[in-house]
Amino acid sequence: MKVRLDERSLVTLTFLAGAAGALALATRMGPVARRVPIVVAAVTTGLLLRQAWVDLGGRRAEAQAEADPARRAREAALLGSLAALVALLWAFGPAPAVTLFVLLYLRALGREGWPAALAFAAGIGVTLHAVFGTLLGLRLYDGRVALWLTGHWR
Amino acid sequence: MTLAWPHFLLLTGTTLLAMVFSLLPGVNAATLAALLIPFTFRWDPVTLLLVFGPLVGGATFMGSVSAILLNVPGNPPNAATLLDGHPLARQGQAMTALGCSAAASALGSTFGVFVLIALLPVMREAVLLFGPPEFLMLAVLGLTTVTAVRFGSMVKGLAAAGIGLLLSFVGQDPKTGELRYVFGCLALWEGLGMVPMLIGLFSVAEMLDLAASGRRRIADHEAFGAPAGSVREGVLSVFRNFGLFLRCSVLGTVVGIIPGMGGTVASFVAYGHAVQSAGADRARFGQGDIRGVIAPEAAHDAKDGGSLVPTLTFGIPGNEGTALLLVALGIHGIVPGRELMTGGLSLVFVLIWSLFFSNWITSLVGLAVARPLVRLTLAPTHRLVPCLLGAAVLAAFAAKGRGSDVVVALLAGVLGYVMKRHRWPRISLVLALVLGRMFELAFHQTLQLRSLGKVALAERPVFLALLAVTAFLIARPLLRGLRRGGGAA
Repeated sequence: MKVRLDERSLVTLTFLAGAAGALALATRMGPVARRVPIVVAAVTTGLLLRQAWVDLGGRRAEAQAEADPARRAREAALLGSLAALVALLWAFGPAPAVTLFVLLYLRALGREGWPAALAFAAGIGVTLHAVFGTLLGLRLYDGRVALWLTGHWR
Repeated sequence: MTLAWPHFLLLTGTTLLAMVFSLLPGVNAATLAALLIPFTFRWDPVTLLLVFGPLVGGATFMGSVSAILLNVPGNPPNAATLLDGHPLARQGQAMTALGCSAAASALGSTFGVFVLIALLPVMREAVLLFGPPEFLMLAVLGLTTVTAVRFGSMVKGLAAAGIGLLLSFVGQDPKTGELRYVFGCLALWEGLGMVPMLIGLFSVAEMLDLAASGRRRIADHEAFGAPAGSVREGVLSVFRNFGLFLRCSVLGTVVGIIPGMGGTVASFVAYGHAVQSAGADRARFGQGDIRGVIAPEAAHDAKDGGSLVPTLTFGIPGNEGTALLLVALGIHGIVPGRELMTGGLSLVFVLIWSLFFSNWITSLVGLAVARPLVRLTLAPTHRLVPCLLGAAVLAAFAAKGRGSDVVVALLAGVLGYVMKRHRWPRISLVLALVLGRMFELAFHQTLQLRSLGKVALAERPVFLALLAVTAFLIARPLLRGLRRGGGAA
C-alpha cells in the first residue's frame, strides 16, 4: 500500500494523537471520573484510526483541498497575526490589544494607508470602550504593561 | 393591558433596545436585563413584566441578522442559523434568508407562546415527567442527529462528535469533582466555556477562512447593486416547509420546557433533525439550504414560551434570561408557583403577550432595517476581517471577563478553520460539545438512581417513548446503508 502523507493525512493524524492522548490520560483517572471518557476516547481513537487508514492510502471519496502556495502564505500570516493578538492581549488588555491589532492588520495585511488605518483603529477603539467599558463596566486595560506602570505587577 | 398606550410605548422601546444588544456579538438581551435590574426597584409589576418580555426572548432575530450577513452569531444559539444563512447571503440571497429567519422566528415564538397558554392548567405535571433518565435519553437523541449532519463521511462525523464529547469532559467531573484534562491550568477547572468555543469554531474560523481565501468581499456578487434576494420568497419558504417548521417548533418548545438545555441545544438539535428528515435531499445543507435557516430559527424562538413553564411553575430558570426574570420578580415579592399561577394570572399574561408582541416587532422592524445592513456583505474583507476578529475577541472576553476565554476562542477558531478546510463537520463536534455535559451528568444520576432502586426505567412512559424514537433514528440510516451495500467512507 502506498502511503500518502499530505495535509489532510496530517490533520487526521493530529486528531488521532489527541484522542489517543485523551485515552491514555483517562486510564489514570479515578474509577468514576473515567467511566464515560475512557469509552468515548477509545471509540474516537478507533474511528480516527479507520479515517487515518483511508487518508494515508485507502480509498478517498472526497476531493482533496487544493494546495495553493498563496493561500499557505496567507494562512501563515494569519497565524502570526493571531499570535501577535494574544501577545498584545497579555501586554495591554483587551481594548488596546484589539485597537492595535486592527491597526497593524490593516497596515501589514490589508495594505491600507496610515490615515485610513488610524481612523479605523481609532473608531474601533472608541466603540469598544463605549460598549464594553462604559456600558458593561468590563476591565479592558489591565494588561501586564498597564499593571507594571501603575505598580500593581512586580 | 399590554396594548394600552403607555404600556405599548414601553414595550416597543425595550424591544428596540434589546434588538441593538442582540445584534452585537458577545452581548444580548440578557446583558441588558442585568443592567436594568437596579432600575426596577420602583417599578410596578406590570411595567416590570412588560420590560422583561422582550428581554427574555423577544429580540433574538437580530442575532440571526449578524449571523446571516457577517457569519458572526449575535448569540450562541444563532450559530446554527449561519450554517446555511451565511452561504445564502454569499450567493446574493441575503434578503431571502433574512425574510425566512424573521418569519420562522416570529411564527416559532407564536407557537411557543400558544403552547405555554395551553399548558398553563397542567404545567406542574408536565415538568415533573422529566427526570435524569429522560434527560439522558434526550441527550442521546440529540447525539443521534450527528449521524445525519456529517456532510460526507459517517466516520468523520462520528469522530468529530467524539472529539466534541472529549472537549466537553474538560474540567471537573460532575459526580466526583475530580479534575480532568486541565493540565494544571486554573482557567480550565470550569471547563471550556460554550460562548468562546462557539465564537471560535464559527466566527473566528470563518474570518480566518475569509482572509485566507483572498476573497475581496463576503458576497460573491461584485456589483454594488447586485440582487440581494426577496423577503417575500423567504417568508413563503416557511409555509412551503410548514411540516418542518412545525416539528422544529415542537422540538424547541420541548427543549425550552427542560431547564438548563437552552437555545443553543434547541437550535442545533433542530438543525440536525432538518438534515436527518431531508433523507436523500440533503446535499445542499451547509451550502445555502433554506431549510437550514427555518429549523434553528423556529426552534430557538419556540423555546422561549417553553422556558417560561418551569420558570413560572417552579422558579427554575431555563436560561440566563429567565434567571434574571426570577431575580427581578423576587425584588418585587412575586413568587413563582401556585400563588402566581392562580391569583397572579393576569401578570403571567402580561409577560406572555409582551414576549409575543416583542417578537413580531423585532421581525418587522428588523426586516425594515435589514436592507441597509445587507450592504455590509459588500464591504472589503481586509477591513471587515480585523474588525470582526476584534469583535469576536471582545465577545469571548465579555462572557466572563477572562483573558483565558479569548485564548480558547482563538484556538477553537484555528480548529474550526482546519475542520472546515478538510471537510470535518463542525456541527457534529458542536452538538456533542453542547450535549456532552448533560449526557454525562444524567448518565451518572440514572445509574445511581437505579442502583438505589429509585427508578424503574420500564415504567417511565416518556423515557420509553424517547428510547423508541432514538432506536428508530439510529436504525433507519443503518438499514438504508445495508440496502445500498455500504456507504462511502
